[in-house]
Amino acid sequence: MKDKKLIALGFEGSANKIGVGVVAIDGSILSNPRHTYITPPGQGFLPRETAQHHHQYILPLVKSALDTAGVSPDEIDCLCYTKGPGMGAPLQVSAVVVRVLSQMWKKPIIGVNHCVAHIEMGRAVTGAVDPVVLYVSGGNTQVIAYSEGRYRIFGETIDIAVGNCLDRFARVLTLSNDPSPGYNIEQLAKKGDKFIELPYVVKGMDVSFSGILSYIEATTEEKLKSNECTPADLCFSLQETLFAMLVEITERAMAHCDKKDVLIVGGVGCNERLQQMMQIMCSERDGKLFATDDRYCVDNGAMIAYTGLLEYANGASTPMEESTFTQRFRTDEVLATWREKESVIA
Amino acid sequence: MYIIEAKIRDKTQIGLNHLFTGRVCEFWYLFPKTLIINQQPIASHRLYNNCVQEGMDGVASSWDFQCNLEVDLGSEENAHIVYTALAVDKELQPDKVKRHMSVSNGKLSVNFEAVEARFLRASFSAFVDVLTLATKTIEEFGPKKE
Repeated sequence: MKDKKLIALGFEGSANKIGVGVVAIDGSILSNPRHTYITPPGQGFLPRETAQHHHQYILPLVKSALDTAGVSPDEIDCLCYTKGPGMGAPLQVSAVVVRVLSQMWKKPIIGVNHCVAHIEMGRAVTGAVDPVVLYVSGGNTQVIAYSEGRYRIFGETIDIAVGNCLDRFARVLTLSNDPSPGYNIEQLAKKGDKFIELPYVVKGMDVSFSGILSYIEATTEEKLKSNECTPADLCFSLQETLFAMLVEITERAMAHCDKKDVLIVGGVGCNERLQQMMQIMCSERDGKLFATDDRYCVDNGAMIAYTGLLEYANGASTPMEESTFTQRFRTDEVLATWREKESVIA
Repeated sequence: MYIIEAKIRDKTQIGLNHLFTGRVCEFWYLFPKTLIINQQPIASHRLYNNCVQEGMDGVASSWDFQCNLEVDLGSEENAHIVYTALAVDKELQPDKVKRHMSVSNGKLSVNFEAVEARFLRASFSAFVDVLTLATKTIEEFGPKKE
């Protein structure tokens, strides 16, 4: 019997960020360095170039994660990586490094679902016990709640993610992608006060953003030329519209699942306006809002390490032949074995 | 420490060679010390047929575009680590590109076959990227450093 805490090394590289984190089973984060691939204004990130970026940074990040944590490879219990969902080529970078390290260091591999990792990191950081989760990022938009062994998706986008809609509007205005397009929209929106009406597309508990994006892409140039509004007004109006839709479907899921608390995770989750609007809704329902800042909201290695460690502690591991990656990997495909045990205790 | 040998067979004589020029240059940067590159564009059908016969042992093949890559990884152990890590990911279009790998004497041999030059190039190029990553990982975190 060892009295040492279990420790995991986690790798995340499903989108334009590559991150490596060292986490212990009690949720303490020993190190969590990451590097973001930032494209020039007006441009998005493409799989091949993003993978090249990850190739360049992943090994220095492993070194820095181990050094900062003061942990040697011997002390690590398992290696966790993002199995999906995400872009193929960038996902492969983490998978290949983990497979090589696993053989050299003789450590088991755990393949982790990216969405579940966001949820578990959010719960660990905020202490939310059983919230309705709004997962909003550049690639995903889902309203999730735990029910009978799995994180079930109650509502989601039927086309593009909310972050994708914001990022692509930032390209229309050629805003900087540094630190992120969404952050720059948020800052500009603070200066806007004129509300421009945009399409509002909620279908039951699902949302759709691509029509809104097409509309605003098609009308921006004309509206700006005729001085009908400023870029700041458009950022403000877009945020208000998108976030109102998200708050609406989250509230519907809360009523449906009879849960009081909300946890916001994912890159868009660090938007303070979204948090503010959600806070108003939660307080009207006597619930609590749990949210985190960009260290944990945005993709990072620690969230993968922590979720992988939960699975490992419950006896799971991924054999080498199955340590694949996949672009499509739904949140509800994962059996959340660790949650079952929690509910027995509670 | 690594020796790379890449042989490219071009049945159609459309100059498949130049498709790989960029990649071959990258090899020079990655493994400048003891690099040996052996490119053999097969100019005539007679020669091509010889090559196919050489490569026939075991695997019957009729696909027009082929490429062999041989990497010396310094030890049998390293070669197996790389083989195991890269064998997990199957080719995305098995009806257009086939990849066969084997290990012997610390060397990893990879044979690509494709129905069109562009599929061969894409597959080869992607493979070299992950191969480079795997070997760099061994160099960085392998036993010799500890």
